[in-house]
Amino acid sequence: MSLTRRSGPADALRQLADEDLMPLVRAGEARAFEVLYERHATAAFSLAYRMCGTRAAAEDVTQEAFLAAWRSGARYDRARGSVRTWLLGIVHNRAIDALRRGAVRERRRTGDEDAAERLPAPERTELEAARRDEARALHRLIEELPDEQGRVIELAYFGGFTHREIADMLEAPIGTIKGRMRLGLEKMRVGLEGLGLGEAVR
Amino acid sequence: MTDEAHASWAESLGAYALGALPEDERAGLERHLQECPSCRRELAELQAAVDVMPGATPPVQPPPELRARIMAAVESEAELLRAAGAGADRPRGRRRGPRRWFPRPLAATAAAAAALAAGVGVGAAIFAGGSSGPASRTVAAQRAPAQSAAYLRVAGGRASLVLRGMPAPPPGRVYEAWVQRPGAAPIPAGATFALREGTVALPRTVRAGDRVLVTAEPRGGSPAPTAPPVIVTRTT
Ligand SMILES: [Zn+2]
Repeated sequence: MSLTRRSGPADALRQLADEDLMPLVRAGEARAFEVLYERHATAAFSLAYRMCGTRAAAEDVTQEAFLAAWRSGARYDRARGSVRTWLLGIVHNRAIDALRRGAVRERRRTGDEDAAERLPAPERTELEAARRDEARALHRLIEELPDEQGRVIELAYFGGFTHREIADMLEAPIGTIKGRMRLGLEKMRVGLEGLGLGEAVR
Repeated sequence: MTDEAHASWAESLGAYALGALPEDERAGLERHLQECPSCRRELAELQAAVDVMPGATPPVQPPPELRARIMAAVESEAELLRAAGAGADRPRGRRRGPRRWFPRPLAATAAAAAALAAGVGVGAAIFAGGSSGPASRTVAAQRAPAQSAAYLRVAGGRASLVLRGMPAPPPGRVYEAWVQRPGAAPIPAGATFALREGTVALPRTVRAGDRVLVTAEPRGGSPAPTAPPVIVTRTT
């Protein structure tokens, strides 16, 4: 199908839940995949941008991740979590790969972004507004962790550093770093239950 | 499994969930997870916290061109699948597993999209017919780099490689295509390229039973392959 004939997904597809789009994606339906892109591209790009620090690197990572998802749709298992979580997991893996192979130059630390470069997503729907509220709550949850735990979790998850690299940076034993990660995540999980956020553990 | 082994692997569960376990430790932990229900349970709990982390990221809008680029690749692959036909004998993907999805069992569904995986060790499938004329056949590669897809399209002795998501060749190298007749050494197909998406026409005639290989060679190409093939396709 040529690009000039592209018309976007039909409304019928937009009525379907993510999990119901996946069988169509597996069968090679490009339009079904496009609906998933519409729904999750902003979250995917935002995560990639936070991790890589430049728009160019974030675009590469987002593209690689969505194409990997398209090519490996068969690996998605709905019993194990949402399509969104699955997609963002792929983005996270790809961003870590990019960071570790040094593909991301001028890597910037979190909080270092150029405000002018950042184009905030408008709150167009109630869903997006709700996600923004959720983001604030999650942010607080991480901030409420003891400093030493929040710091290693941010360095690991958003910075893409290994426990060894973090141990080096913070001049602490690896065992200590691993312990902080485990304790911090455990605390977050308990906090999530309190907020009614997150996906049920199956 | 000893208690000490369990205790030491359990220490690493948080790092694993965050993606912070170095490559060399990951395989060991994954083996332990297979035999330790207690670690699997704890990992699922820690993973629930990691799974919400992207939600803490301030939203940034991707550029519209990104969608166009991604959908152009997706559509051309969807078209190849349609050309292959719903009843085509599809290779089943056996690919490098995505990291950290380990505890989540792989869906065993035979899927059309899996045909695009074309991972190492996947058998060839011959798709008859298709959009490029009644005499053309499209073969999914038996081997292609992870996360990429490669096909050989043959029409009356003229062959071309269709590439999707190829990694860039290593620095100072280009890809070179080879034709290998049954029982003979590979000979240059007459094409060197650094293309990552698109179609590469092969000047040399390809006959039934030939294999078409791609290796990474020093710039300018080589008279004979100097590296193991990254792409292997076989006609029938
Ligand atoms: Zn264990």
